[in-house]
Amino acid sequence: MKRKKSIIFLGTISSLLILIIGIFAFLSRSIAQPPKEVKTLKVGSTLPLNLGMGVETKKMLEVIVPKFNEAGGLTVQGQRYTIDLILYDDKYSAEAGRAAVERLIYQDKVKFIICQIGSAPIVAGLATTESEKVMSFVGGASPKIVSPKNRYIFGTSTTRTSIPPLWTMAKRVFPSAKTVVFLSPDDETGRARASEETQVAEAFGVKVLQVLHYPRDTVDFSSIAAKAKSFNSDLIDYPGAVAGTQFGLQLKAMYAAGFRGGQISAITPQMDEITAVASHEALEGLLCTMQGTEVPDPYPLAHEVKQDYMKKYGKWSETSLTWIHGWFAFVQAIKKADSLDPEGVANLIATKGLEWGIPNGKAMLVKRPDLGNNRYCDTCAEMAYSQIKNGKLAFVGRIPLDEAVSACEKVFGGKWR
Amino acid sequence: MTSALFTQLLVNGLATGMVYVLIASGLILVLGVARIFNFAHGEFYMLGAYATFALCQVLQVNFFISIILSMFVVALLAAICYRLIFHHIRGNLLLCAAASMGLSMMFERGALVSFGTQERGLPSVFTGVMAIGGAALPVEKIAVILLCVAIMLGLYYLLMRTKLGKAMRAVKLDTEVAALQGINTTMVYALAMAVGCSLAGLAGGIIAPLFSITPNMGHAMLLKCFMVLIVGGLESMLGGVVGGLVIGMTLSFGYYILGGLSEILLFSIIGVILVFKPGGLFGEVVEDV
Repeated sequence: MKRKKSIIFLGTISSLLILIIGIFAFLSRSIAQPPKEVKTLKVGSTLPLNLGMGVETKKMLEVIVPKFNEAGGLTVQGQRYTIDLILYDDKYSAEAGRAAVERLIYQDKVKFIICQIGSAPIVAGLATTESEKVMSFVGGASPKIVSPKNRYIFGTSTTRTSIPPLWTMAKRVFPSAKTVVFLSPDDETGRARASEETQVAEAFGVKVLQVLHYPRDTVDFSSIAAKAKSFNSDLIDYPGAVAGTQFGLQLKAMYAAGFRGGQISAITPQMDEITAVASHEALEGLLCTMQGTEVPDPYPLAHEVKQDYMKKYGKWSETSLTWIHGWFAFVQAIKKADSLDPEGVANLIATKGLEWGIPNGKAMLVKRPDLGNNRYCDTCAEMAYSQIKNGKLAFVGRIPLDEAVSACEKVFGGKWR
Repeated sequence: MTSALFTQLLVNGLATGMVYVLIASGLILVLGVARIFNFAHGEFYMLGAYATFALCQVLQVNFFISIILSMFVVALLAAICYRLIFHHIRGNLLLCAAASMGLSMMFERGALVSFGTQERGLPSVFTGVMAIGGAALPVEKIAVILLCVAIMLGLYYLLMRTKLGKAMRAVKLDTEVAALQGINTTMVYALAMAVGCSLAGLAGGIIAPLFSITPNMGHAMLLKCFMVLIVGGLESMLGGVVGGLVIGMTLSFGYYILGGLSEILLFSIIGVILVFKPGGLFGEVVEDV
């Protein structure tokens, strides 16, 4: 009996010891195991580094991407990734753009491309990105970007959807306006923008008296302005204009020609450049878009990116914000899909949509039934507007995301959400 | 078209035309006296604009002093270019043309590296709009016309009343006879180059507050100046004046009538002139320059 008790005791002790050793072994193994290695995810971009907007976008990406990495980067299925941004110059041309995209795909093996700006390099690289199943979150104005044939490219700038919200605001600021004359560059972009704005203006009950085209490299707008003034319209609009000095020269010429009506533009003017060539009187009252960083109550993201940019470069540039929506969309899409498979991510956001935050506020992917595309492929965003008062941009108001989408649906037709 | 609108377009055309006159006169001087077809002439115009911009914006120098200093800077640069390059190849028209093309590229690239691709602009010195009989006339356009007329009168005085002008005209007429008369032809060539290019530089300075300044602004201007020379005649100063005004007016009224297609009107007018006057309005048919 005594012997039996001893055997039970020894057995119990042995079992306990084995259990304790097992627990310790398990714990020590867990403690000693190194953390999962942080991997690098290559993300590509091509920008026109021969133009100010390309350089500024690059500078902004060089601020926000390292900060994103420092904050932990992307986590996909428990695996952490830091972003390695590979950026090439596309010179805003089709040839250089296609070469840069091919280099990104075949040499650097990227599966995601973000923040391209010009339609020419984007469209030139489109065949390659689609055939190689590389996902792109890009700017550009061309409707080809949101063609129903495409599966992997998403338009993440508001260039194709910013006109209806602008005219919503224009009707508030200039309620009695009945007529408008357009001044637009004589190229594919200018003509496409003018055609689109004609559709929008007429949907808002404003008659387009004339569309005046000028060569893209024009510097002397005197005669064109004299002709524009001769129509005595209530408004002048500048579809397809660029935000810098040339825009200032147009405003100056209109003022010199004697025009004193309302003026609107879908761009955010580069104030330092336009005030260098045009007097405050010539700019007074222009209704235009405003960056989210400049509004009286900027969103935290707007405040943060501006602070970070100024910390690195000293001087703030509003242009740096215009084309970076693609970055925020890319991050949100990967988080939503919890996958790095371009096909899976593209299918998910094209069928379920995507909402994300940008410095201006909220943005979302929308369908383009008017262009025959019923997948979520284009972007609508909250917009802020200003008027120039005494040489400075003065905040006028915001058009919230819902209203912006509704305005687009009203003008272009179909269900966008 | 109302009379007010006509007046506006007339003043616009005169202002633009007078700038063409100024630049084309320089080109004619260099071609006529030094026998150099200067493809870098547009770049001297661009350098004048950038020099004025740099003096006004960076060094905060008064605009009028800036354009005068810019003129001298461009003149000095042109004289150096002549001495270092064209002096050794003068007489060979093709080689001079090729050298000037190279110079043009160098200047353009230099401006690109120094000032970047960003368009630059200067605030206007003459602000405001004059209302005359319902026409809105920008003061700066009227000022440009007056400035250009004053400079052209100065050039006329230089060429017709001064020793240097007489020497230039003598060299243009017959180089060998002029040399036999004791004229230092090498010096005259260099001075013709300096004066001709300084006119382009001066025009660049005058135009700086009106339009934008870019490294490639010289190309379009050179093309317009060639049109002026074709219309007026290759070596005629009077032809340069008339040609400049014809081109300025055609573009001003052409933009109003045809918009972006005004260049078609311009080339049609040039075509008609060449049919009746193959050497230009005041020139002769050139067999060999």
